[in-house]
Amino acid sequence: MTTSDALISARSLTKRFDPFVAVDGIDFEVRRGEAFGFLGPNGAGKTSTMRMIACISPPSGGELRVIGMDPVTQASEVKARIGVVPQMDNLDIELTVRENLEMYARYFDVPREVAGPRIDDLLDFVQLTERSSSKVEPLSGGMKRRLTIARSLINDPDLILLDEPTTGLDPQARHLVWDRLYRLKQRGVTLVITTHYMDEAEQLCDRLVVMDKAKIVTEGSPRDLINRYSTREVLEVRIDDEVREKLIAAMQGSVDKVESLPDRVLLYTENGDATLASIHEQGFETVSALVRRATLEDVFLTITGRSLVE
Amino acid sequence: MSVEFEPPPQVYPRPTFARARKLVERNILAYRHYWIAFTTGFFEPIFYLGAVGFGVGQFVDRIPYGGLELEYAAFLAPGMLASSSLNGALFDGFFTPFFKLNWQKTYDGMLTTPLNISDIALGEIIWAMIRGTIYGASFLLVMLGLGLIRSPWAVLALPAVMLSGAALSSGAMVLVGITKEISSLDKVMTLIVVPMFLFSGTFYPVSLYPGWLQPIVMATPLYHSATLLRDLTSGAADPGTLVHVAYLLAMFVLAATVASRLIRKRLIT
Ligand SMILES: Nc1ncnc2c1ncn2[C@@H]1O[C@H](COP(=O)(O)OP(=O)(O)O)[C@@H](O)[C@H]1O
Ligand SMILES: [Mg+2]
Repeated sequence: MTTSDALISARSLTKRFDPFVAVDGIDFEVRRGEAFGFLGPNGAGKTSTMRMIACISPPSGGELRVIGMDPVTQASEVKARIGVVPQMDNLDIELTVRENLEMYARYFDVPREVAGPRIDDLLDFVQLTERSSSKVEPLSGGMKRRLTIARSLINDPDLILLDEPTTGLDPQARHLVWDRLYRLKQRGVTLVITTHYMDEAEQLCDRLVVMDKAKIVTEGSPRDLINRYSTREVLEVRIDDEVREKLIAAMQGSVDKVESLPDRVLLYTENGDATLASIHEQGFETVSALVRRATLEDVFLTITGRSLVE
Repeated sequence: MSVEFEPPPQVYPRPTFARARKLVERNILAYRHYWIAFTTGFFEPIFYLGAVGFGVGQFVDRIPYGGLELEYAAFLAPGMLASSSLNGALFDGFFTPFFKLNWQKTYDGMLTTPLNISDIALGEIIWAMIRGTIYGASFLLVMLGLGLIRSPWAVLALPAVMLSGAALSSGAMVLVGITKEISSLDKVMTLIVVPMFLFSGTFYPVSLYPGWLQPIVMATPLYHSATLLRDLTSGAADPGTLVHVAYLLAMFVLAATVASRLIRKRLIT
């Protein structure tokens, strides 16, 4: 890949909150038009990384270029071309829904004749047209999130940074946000998304890095990573504690890998049904059993030995 | 690989008026929803002028001031004029920025746009100055109506109110940079604002204080603001008046810079 199609490139990027290291020398590149993810548990350093890209946190070390510019010395120029959906909503609560977009259009110097129709389109896009003269506070969490997404699009950005776009939303609200992000991706907008939800990363990201304890532990497309670190299927069984260790010992040789979680045992296998049948043949009684496709959660578990969401 | 790069040198982008102006636009838009709150700061100095100036003033002899003899209301009125710029500074240089910074996170959002901290600080200072100036202008009209303006120098009173507003608002923004707790609001009121309002030569001449206390009072910005305005509306202006102008100008530049630095420390981590 040539660096000319990299919208963001980071080398040995570091963020220290002395003496603590929140981001420890990470390298990555985000290409134009892709949806790029940072997947990792709480505290991994995702937000710290996003804030550096968004020019609101100076790196403590390493190199960072965003849209070909230096986010420290050219902050205003970089910020003019990106859209930001921060982890915590910071909508202007003294203004109405529409006024929030109007003011952000002013902050970005969007010409008035462009701003008006664009705001109409954006309100429609995030399904908030009916609420346009409402104050911000009475909106639901999902609506606030959608308004924040609309706000991030007001300057028609080359790049949108979304920090945990659906954390705290109910499933329905989540799916609506995913749908909108998916449409943005279809339009060719470059998205950078952080999440600790593996399903979000799988659905939205073309490529992702897995972060843990301030470092990048692996990178690739969701399919790649699953193929690389997991089997095609996973058999999850719940079983009485007395026979748990016996089951693990018995299956150790016949599947790719066994993970013992507090509430269940995961067996990594190419054929879950066959593995389950063999468990039953050996006389084990399972409380419940589920065969599923491998996910990014399994990738994280394989690499770190822990699950993404505690 | 763990190569250590030198952290980049700290650069503080200078504010531009074009960007700072956006804060003023935002506040105008917001105050359309809260216009009643906006009018409150106008009445307070008028109430004082009525109660103290005309009430208490009945019992007070003429006050010697810069070679003139002023009746009490004419002495007090410029002090209250100065305090209208203090009101602007207090409301929109301190209270609302305090909440925007600590609770509403308004500035965090603005920072993701081309606005920088220095633009935000300058914009809020300009707005608080405008608010104080609106109060000051209406108070000047009241003074004119009551015959409390004694000199053509008073045409400079409005720019002087603006200067006073700029200085006091910058000072207020410094306080925003160093306060986090809701209890700080009380402390600022009781320890800074109220004593300054009462004792800075606003209600009576500083010469009444013992010698050791006078320099302390004369170090406060409201003393310079009140004295400057009194020189202008009474006609006692002389070259010494420029000292007050210089003090307020210096305070504006210095405090605005310090405020930007302090708020930057709070927002950029
Ligand atoms: N301003 C700060 N001061 C000190 N420590 C911080 C600050 N911001 C983040 N951290 C710490 O850095 C680590 C990474 O945080 P963060 O980047 O928010 O992770 P994530 O977004 O992946 O949950 C956490 O341990 C967090 O406590
Ligand atoms: Mg985070």
